[in-house]
Amino acid sequence: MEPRIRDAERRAYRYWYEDGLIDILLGMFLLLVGATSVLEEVPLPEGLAIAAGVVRIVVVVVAALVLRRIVRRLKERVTYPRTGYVAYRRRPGWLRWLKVGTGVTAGAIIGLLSVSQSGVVQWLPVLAGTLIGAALLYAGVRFDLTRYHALALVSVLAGGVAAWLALSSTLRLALLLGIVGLAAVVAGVVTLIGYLRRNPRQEGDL
Amino acid sequence: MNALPQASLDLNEVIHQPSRLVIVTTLYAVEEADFLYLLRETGLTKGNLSAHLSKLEEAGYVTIEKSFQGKIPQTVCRLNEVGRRAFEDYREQMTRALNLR
Repeated sequence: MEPRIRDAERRAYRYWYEDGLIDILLGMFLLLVGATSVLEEVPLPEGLAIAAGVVRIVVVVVAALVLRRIVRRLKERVTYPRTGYVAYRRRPGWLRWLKVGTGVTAGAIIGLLSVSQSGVVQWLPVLAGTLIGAALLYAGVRFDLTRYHALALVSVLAGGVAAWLALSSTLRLALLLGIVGLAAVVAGVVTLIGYLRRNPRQEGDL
Repeated sequence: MNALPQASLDLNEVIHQPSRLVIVTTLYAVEEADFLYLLRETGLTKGNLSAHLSKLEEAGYVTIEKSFQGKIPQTVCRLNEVGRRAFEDYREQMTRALNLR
Protein backbone atom coordinates (compact mmCIF):
# COMPACT_ATOMS: atom_id res chain seq x y z
CA MET A 1 0.00 0.00 0.00
CA GLU A 2 2.74 2.49 0.97
CA PRO A 3 4.75 1.87 -2.24
CA ARG A 4 1.54 2.36 -4.26
CA ILE A 5 0.93 5.74 -2.58
CA ARG A 6 4.55 6.79 -3.09
CA ASP A 7 4.29 5.65 -6.71
CA ALA A 8 1.10 7.69 -7.27
CA GLU A 9 2.80 10.70 -5.69
CA ARG A 10 5.93 10.24 -7.79
CA ARG A 11 3.89 9.94 -11.00
CA ALA A 12 1.93 13.07 -10.08
CA TYR A 13 5.16 15.04 -9.62
CA ARG A 14 6.69 13.51 -12.74
CA TYR A 15 3.64 14.78 -14.61
CA TRP A 16 4.85 18.36 -13.95
CA TYR A 17 7.88 17.66 -16.17
CA GLU A 18 6.16 15.57 -18.83
CA ASP A 19 5.44 18.37 -21.32
CA GLY A 20 8.93 19.94 -21.21
CA LEU A 21 7.55 23.43 -20.40
CA ILE A 22 9.51 23.70 -17.16
CA ASP A 23 12.74 22.81 -19.03
CA ILE A 24 12.11 25.54 -21.59
CA LEU A 25 11.35 28.20 -18.97
CA LEU A 26 14.21 27.12 -16.69
CA GLY A 27 16.59 27.11 -19.66
CA MET A 28 15.43 30.61 -20.64
CA PHE A 29 15.96 31.73 -17.05
CA LEU A 30 19.54 30.40 -17.05
CA LEU A 31 20.14 32.12 -20.41
CA LEU A 32 18.80 35.36 -18.93
CA VAL A 33 21.11 35.08 -15.89
CA GLY A 34 24.04 34.30 -18.23
CA ALA A 35 23.20 37.25 -20.51
CA THR A 36 22.96 39.68 -17.59
CA SER A 37 26.37 38.41 -16.39
CA VAL A 38 27.86 39.22 -19.80
CA LEU A 39 26.51 42.77 -19.49
CA GLU A 40 28.69 43.12 -16.40
CA GLU A 41 31.69 43.03 -18.73
CA VAL A 42 30.48 46.03 -20.72
CA PRO A 43 32.41 49.15 -19.59
CA LEU A 44 29.97 51.76 -18.22
CA PRO A 45 30.34 55.01 -16.26
CA GLU A 46 30.30 54.32 -12.50
CA GLY A 47 26.77 55.62 -11.78
CA LEU A 48 25.31 53.74 -14.70
CA ALA A 49 27.19 50.59 -13.77
CA ILE A 50 25.62 50.58 -10.28
CA ALA A 51 22.15 51.17 -11.76
CA ALA A 52 22.72 48.40 -14.30
CA GLY A 53 23.80 46.07 -11.47
CA VAL A 54 20.60 46.80 -9.49
CA VAL A 55 18.41 46.33 -12.59
CA ARG A 56 20.19 43.03 -13.29
CA ILE A 57 19.47 41.71 -9.80
CA VAL A 58 15.84 42.87 -9.96
CA VAL A 59 15.32 41.22 -13.37
CA VAL A 60 16.78 37.91 -12.17
CA VAL A 61 14.82 37.89 -8.88
CA VAL A 62 11.52 38.81 -10.58
CA ALA A 63 12.10 36.17 -13.28
CA ALA A 64 12.80 33.55 -10.59
CA LEU A 65 9.63 34.51 -8.69
CA VAL A 66 7.28 34.45 -11.71
CA LEU A 67 8.80 31.37 -13.37
CA ARG A 68 6.46 28.88 -11.71
CA ARG A 69 3.44 31.08 -12.35
CA ILE A 70 4.26 31.35 -16.06
CA VAL A 71 4.68 27.57 -16.29
CA ARG A 72 1.27 27.12 -14.63
CA ARG A 73 -0.36 29.56 -17.07
CA LEU A 74 1.16 27.72 -20.03
CA LYS A 75 0.01 24.39 -18.61
CA GLU A 76 -3.54 25.70 -18.38
CA ARG A 77 -3.42 26.29 -22.14
CA VAL A 78 -1.25 23.38 -23.31
CA THR A 79 -1.23 20.50 -20.82
CA TYR A 80 -4.47 20.44 -18.85
CA PRO A 81 -6.75 20.31 -21.92
CA ARG A 82 -4.72 17.35 -23.23
CA THR A 83 -3.82 15.13 -20.30
CA GLY A 84 -5.59 16.66 -17.35
CA TYR A 85 -5.12 18.95 -14.39
CA VAL A 86 -3.55 18.06 -11.09
CA ALA A 87 -2.73 20.22 -8.06
CA TYR A 88 -0.05 19.10 -5.65
CA ARG A 89 -0.30 18.83 -1.89
CA ARG A 90 1.45 21.61 -0.04
CA ARG A 91 4.86 20.56 1.22
CA PRO A 92 5.70 21.26 4.88
CA GLY A 93 7.02 24.80 5.32
CA TRP A 94 10.41 23.63 6.63
CA LEU A 95 11.03 21.58 3.47
CA ARG A 96 10.39 24.56 1.20
CA TRP A 97 12.65 26.75 3.31
CA LEU A 98 15.33 24.06 3.26
CA LYS A 99 15.26 24.06 -0.55
CA VAL A 100 15.31 27.86 -0.75
CA GLY A 101 18.08 27.98 1.87
CA THR A 102 20.19 25.44 -0.01
CA GLY A 103 19.81 27.36 -3.28
CA VAL A 104 20.59 30.74 -1.69
CA THR A 105 23.61 29.30 0.18
CA ALA A 106 25.00 27.70 -2.99
CA GLY A 107 24.44 30.96 -4.92
CA ALA A 108 26.06 33.01 -2.14
CA ILE A 109 29.13 30.74 -2.02
CA ILE A 110 29.57 30.99 -5.80
CA GLY A 111 29.00 34.77 -5.66
CA LEU A 112 31.54 35.28 -2.87
CA LEU A 113 34.11 33.08 -4.55
CA SER A 114 33.65 34.90 -7.87
CA VAL A 115 34.54 38.27 -6.30
CA SER A 116 37.43 36.86 -4.24
CA GLN A 117 40.92 37.07 -5.66
CA SER A 118 41.95 33.53 -4.69
CA GLY A 119 42.97 30.84 -7.15
CA VAL A 120 39.61 29.15 -6.52
CA VAL A 121 38.05 31.53 -9.07
CA GLN A 122 39.59 29.45 -11.86
CA TRP A 123 37.58 26.39 -10.71
CA LEU A 124 34.37 28.23 -10.00
CA PRO A 125 32.60 27.05 -13.20
CA VAL A 126 33.47 23.45 -12.23
CA LEU A 127 31.89 23.98 -8.80
CA ALA A 128 28.83 25.74 -10.25
CA GLY A 129 28.48 23.13 -13.02
CA THR A 130 28.67 20.33 -10.47
CA LEU A 131 26.09 21.98 -8.18
CA ILE A 132 23.65 22.57 -11.05
CA GLY A 133 24.37 19.03 -12.29
CA ALA A 134 23.67 17.60 -8.82
CA ALA A 135 20.30 19.41 -8.67
CA LEU A 136 19.38 18.13 -12.15
CA LEU A 137 20.50 14.60 -11.29
CA TYR A 138 18.43 14.68 -8.10
CA ALA A 139 15.32 15.61 -10.12
CA GLY A 140 16.23 13.01 -12.76
CA VAL A 141 16.53 10.19 -10.23
CA ARG A 142 13.57 11.26 -8.08
CA PHE A 143 11.11 11.57 -10.97
CA ASP A 144 12.73 9.07 -13.33
CA LEU A 145 13.56 11.62 -16.04
CA THR A 146 16.32 10.42 -18.36
CA ARG A 147 16.79 13.80 -20.04
CA TYR A 148 17.68 15.33 -16.67
CA HIS A 149 20.51 12.80 -16.30
CA ALA A 150 21.82 14.00 -19.69
CA LEU A 151 21.40 17.66 -18.67
CA ALA A 152 23.34 16.97 -15.44
CA LEU A 153 26.19 15.54 -17.52
CA VAL A 154 26.09 18.58 -19.85
CA SER A 155 26.29 20.88 -16.82
CA VAL A 156 29.36 19.13 -15.36
CA LEU A 157 31.10 19.03 -18.76
CA ALA A 158 30.22 22.68 -19.49
CA GLY A 159 31.70 23.64 -16.10
CA GLY A 160 34.94 21.87 -17.04
CA VAL A 161 35.11 23.49 -20.48
CA ALA A 162 34.35 26.97 -19.08
CA ALA A 163 37.09 26.58 -16.43
CA TRP A 164 39.58 25.50 -19.09
CA LEU A 165 38.99 28.48 -21.42
CA ALA A 166 41.05 31.64 -20.98
CA LEU A 167 38.16 33.97 -20.09
CA SER A 168 37.31 36.27 -17.20
CA SER A 169 35.52 34.62 -14.26
CA THR A 170 32.27 36.41 -15.18
CA LEU A 171 32.36 35.19 -18.77
CA ARG A 172 33.19 31.65 -17.63
CA LEU A 173 30.07 31.56 -15.46
CA ALA A 174 28.03 33.17 -18.24
CA LEU A 175 29.26 30.50 -20.66
CA LEU A 176 28.35 27.70 -18.26
CA LEU A 177 24.84 29.12 -17.72
CA GLY A 178 24.46 29.71 -21.45
CA ILE A 179 25.36 26.13 -22.37
CA VAL A 180 23.16 24.55 -19.68
CA GLY A 181 20.31 26.97 -20.45
CA LEU A 182 20.46 26.27 -24.15
CA ALA A 183 20.61 22.50 -23.56
CA ALA A 184 17.57 22.76 -21.26
CA VAL A 185 15.61 24.77 -23.85
CA VAL A 186 16.45 22.24 -26.59
CA ALA A 187 15.54 19.29 -24.32
CA GLY A 188 12.29 21.05 -23.40
CA VAL A 189 11.32 21.82 -26.99
CA VAL A 190 11.99 18.22 -28.08
CA THR A 191 9.97 16.92 -25.11
CA LEU A 192 7.13 19.36 -25.83
CA ILE A 193 6.94 18.35 -29.52
CA GLY A 194 6.79 14.66 -28.54
CA TYR A 195 4.16 15.41 -25.89
CA LEU A 196 1.95 17.37 -28.31
CA ARG A 197 2.18 14.61 -30.91
CA ARG A 198 1.24 11.91 -28.40
CA ASN A 199 -1.58 13.87 -26.79
CA PRO A 200 -4.10 15.64 -28.99
CA ARG A 201 -6.42 18.14 -27.33
CA GLN A 202 -9.48 16.48 -25.73
CA GLU A 203 -12.85 17.52 -27.06
CA GLY A 204 -15.16 16.19 -24.34
CA ASP A 205 -15.33 16.86 -20.60
CA LEU A 206 -12.10 17.41 -18.70
CA MET B 1 -4.46 -20.44 3.82
CA ASN B 2 -5.74 -19.82 7.34
CA ALA B 3 -8.83 -17.73 7.80
CA LEU B 4 -8.15 -14.20 8.99
CA PRO B 5 -9.76 -13.09 12.26
CA GLN B 6 -13.18 -11.57 11.69
CA ALA B 7 -12.09 -8.19 13.07
CA SER B 8 -9.33 -7.97 10.48
CA LEU B 9 -11.78 -8.55 7.66
CA ASP B 10 -14.03 -5.69 8.65
CA LEU B 11 -12.72 -3.60 5.77
CA ASN B 12 -14.25 -0.48 4.26
CA GLU B 13 -16.13 -1.92 1.28
CA VAL B 14 -16.34 1.42 -0.54
CA ILE B 15 -12.56 1.79 -0.62
CA HIS B 16 -11.70 -1.92 -0.82
CA GLN B 17 -13.12 -2.29 -4.36
CA PRO B 18 -9.99 -2.43 -6.65
CA SER B 19 -10.93 0.39 -9.07
CA ARG B 20 -12.00 2.71 -6.27
CA LEU B 21 -8.84 1.85 -4.34
CA VAL B 22 -6.77 3.05 -7.32
CA ILE B 23 -8.83 6.27 -7.55
CA VAL B 24 -8.55 6.95 -3.81
CA THR B 25 -4.80 6.22 -3.76
CA THR B 26 -4.28 8.59 -6.70
CA LEU B 27 -6.33 11.35 -5.07
CA TYR B 28 -4.64 10.77 -1.70
CA ALA B 29 -1.26 11.58 -3.27
CA VAL B 30 -2.40 14.97 -4.63
CA GLU B 31 -4.44 17.97 -3.57
CA GLU B 32 -6.98 17.63 -6.40
CA ALA B 33 -7.18 16.33 -9.96
CA ASP B 34 -9.60 16.55 -12.83
CA PHE B 35 -11.50 13.77 -14.57
CA LEU B 36 -9.05 13.62 -17.48
CA TYR B 37 -6.04 13.14 -15.20
CA LEU B 38 -7.83 10.40 -13.25
CA LEU B 39 -8.86 8.73 -16.48
CA ARG B 40 -5.23 8.57 -17.55
CA GLU B 41 -3.88 7.49 -14.17
CA THR B 42 -6.43 4.80 -13.42
CA GLY B 43 -6.80 3.35 -16.93
CA LEU B 44 -10.58 3.08 -16.40
CA THR B 45 -13.18 3.89 -19.02
CA LYS B 46 -15.10 7.19 -18.75
CA GLY B 47 -18.29 5.38 -17.69
CA ASN B 48 -16.52 3.28 -15.07
CA LEU B 49 -14.60 6.18 -13.62
CA SER B 50 -17.73 8.29 -13.48
CA ALA B 51 -19.66 5.52 -11.67
CA HIS B 52 -16.90 4.93 -9.12
CA LEU B 53 -16.50 8.65 -8.46
CA SER B 54 -20.25 8.88 -7.83
CA LYS B 55 -19.99 6.05 -5.27
CA LEU B 56 -17.11 7.80 -3.54
CA GLU B 57 -19.04 11.07 -3.54
CA GLU B 58 -22.13 9.34 -2.11
CA ALA B 59 -19.97 7.91 0.67
CA GLY B 60 -18.83 11.46 1.42
CA TYR B 61 -15.17 10.72 0.64
CA VAL B 62 -14.74 12.73 -2.55
CA THR B 63 -15.79 16.30 -3.29
CA ILE B 64 -16.57 16.94 -6.94
CA GLU B 65 -16.69 20.41 -8.42
CA LYS B 66 -17.89 21.08 -11.94
CA SER B 67 -16.76 24.21 -13.71
CA PHE B 68 -15.78 25.45 -17.18
CA GLN B 69 -12.35 25.89 -18.74
CA GLY B 70 -13.36 28.30 -21.50
CA LYS B 71 -16.24 26.45 -23.13
CA ILE B 72 -15.16 22.97 -22.03
CA PRO B 73 -16.71 21.53 -18.87
CA GLN B 74 -14.18 20.47 -16.22
CA THR B 75 -14.75 18.11 -13.29
CA VAL B 76 -12.30 18.52 -10.44
CA CYS B 77 -12.16 15.82 -7.75
CA ARG B 78 -10.67 16.06 -4.30
CA LEU B 79 -10.37 13.49 -1.50
CA ASN B 80 -11.84 15.44 1.42
CA GLU B 81 -10.89 15.11 5.10
CA VAL B 82 -13.46 12.34 5.70
CA GLY B 83 -12.07 10.45 2.70
CA ARG B 84 -8.48 10.91 3.82
CA ARG B 85 -9.28 9.62 7.31
CA ALA B 86 -11.24 6.68 5.88
CA PHE B 87 -8.33 5.77 3.60
CA GLU B 88 -5.83 6.02 6.46
CA ASP B 89 -8.05 3.75 8.58
CA TYR B 90 -8.29 1.32 5.67
CA ARG B 91 -4.49 1.24 5.32
CA GLU B 92 -4.17 0.58 9.04
CA GLN B 93 -6.69 -2.26 8.84
CA MET B 94 -4.98 -3.82 5.84
CA THR B 95 -1.59 -3.61 7.49
CA ARG B 96 -2.95 -5.35 10.60
CA ALA B 97 -4.88 -7.92 8.59
CA LEU B 98 -1.83 -8.90 6.60
CA ASN B 99 0.41 -8.79 9.67
CA LEU B 100 2.77 -6.40 7.97
CA ARG B 101 3.68 -4.79 11.27
